[in-house]
Amino acid sequence: MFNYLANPTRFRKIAIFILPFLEVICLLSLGYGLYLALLASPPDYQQGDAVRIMYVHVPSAWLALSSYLLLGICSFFFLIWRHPLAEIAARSIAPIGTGFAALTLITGSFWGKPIWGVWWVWDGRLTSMLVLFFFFIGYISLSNAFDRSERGARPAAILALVGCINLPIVKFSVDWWHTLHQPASIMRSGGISIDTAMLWPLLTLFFSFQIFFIIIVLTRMLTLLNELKHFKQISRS
Amino acid sequence: MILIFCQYFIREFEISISQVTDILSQIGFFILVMMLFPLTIGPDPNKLSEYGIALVWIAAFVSVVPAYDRLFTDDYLHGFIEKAAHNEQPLGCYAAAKCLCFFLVTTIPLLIILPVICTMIGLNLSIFFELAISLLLGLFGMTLLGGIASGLVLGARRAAILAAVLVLPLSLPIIIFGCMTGIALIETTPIKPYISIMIAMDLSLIVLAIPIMQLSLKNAIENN
Repeated sequence: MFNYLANPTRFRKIAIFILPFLEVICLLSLGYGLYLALLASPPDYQQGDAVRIMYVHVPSAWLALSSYLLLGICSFFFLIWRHPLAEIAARSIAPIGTGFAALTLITGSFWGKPIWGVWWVWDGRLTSMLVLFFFFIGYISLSNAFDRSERGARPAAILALVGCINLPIVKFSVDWWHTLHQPASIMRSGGISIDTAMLWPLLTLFFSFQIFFIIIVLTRMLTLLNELKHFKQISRS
Repeated sequence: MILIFCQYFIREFEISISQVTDILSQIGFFILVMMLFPLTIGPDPNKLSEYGIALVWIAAFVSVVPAYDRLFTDDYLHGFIEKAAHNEQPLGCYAAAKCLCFFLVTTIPLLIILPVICTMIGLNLSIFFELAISLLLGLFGMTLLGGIASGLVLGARRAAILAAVLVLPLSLPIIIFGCMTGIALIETTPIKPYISIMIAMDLSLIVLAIPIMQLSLKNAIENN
């Protein structure tokens, strides 16, 4: 399956074919999710309407984490099998992951101000998320730091793998340290501890964010592939 | 293997000793950074001794980080790494010797000057020995992380700032537990758990960092 999809021309064909479908699904689920989150779901009995920040904050946090994981997996594939498509995928994921990490930090501080009374606290979850953001920044600046762009690919891939140490720290930081941040309520042992009235909008928005992520990554990958092809044509002529 | 390690180590040590000015300027930088704190947070001795250990840690980190991009750069530019790889000598051995030598050359002068600094910012000298141990462990781990960063940025533009950006997020666990040791020292609670964690981090870093450095050095000379 990987080998089948890993052919750049075949990948391009399939990506161009499925992109419009994904865009439609993303728009529909985003609209439905936003309707559920902003209008249909009940306000929290303590937090009031401020709880609606969760519907953006939590999906972007999940996506920031999973995009770093994906970055690590792509870098691993690139380092072991030297597959060019994996490197292009990693390069496309990095800025988007940075964006989601930044969005998580910003929405988190907007949520923290009314509920905790402060914009920012230096606890495990927030600090490790900030570190994740800086790993993304480090990845991007390392992969662009060389005069020949393909020279930066392997050092950046090694860095991405090293940075994976941070992922379990982010995930378990709420269990390991005392913190203002609430503990995990979806992916935890002992089942989901969130009411279905809030779970559905959350999952719908997570789904639409996910599709959005895939759309942007595929578009960026197609652009990078075109760029590579263009450079090859220039150097040949 | 051990013989090759010793050969590399002696070579590195001789080169470093011949560049005394580098060591001196690094120590000067450390003292200058320490001098900034009384000027910024105020000369109040109580405040200074309260924050003292954190300040020593920050100054020590800040004074070693700019040196990291030079760890492998000279040998890379002069072709020494390429020669070693060409002779089929283990690059991990070379990287380990280089890091150990760099660690000794940067840390020992720092520890020599440390009692003076401690007195200047009003830290009690009775905790000096424990502080020195924790600083020694912390800077050892830092050197290995710096080796990783230095290997990765070989041949990059603006390598110095890039190496610093890569090292600092990685070094947070070391600085956290190092400063916890310091806090425990001041509060006279047991410091052994923190010291043990730092030793564990250093040992696992030895295992992890040397293959990574080897990989990145090999990659740097292959794609030259």
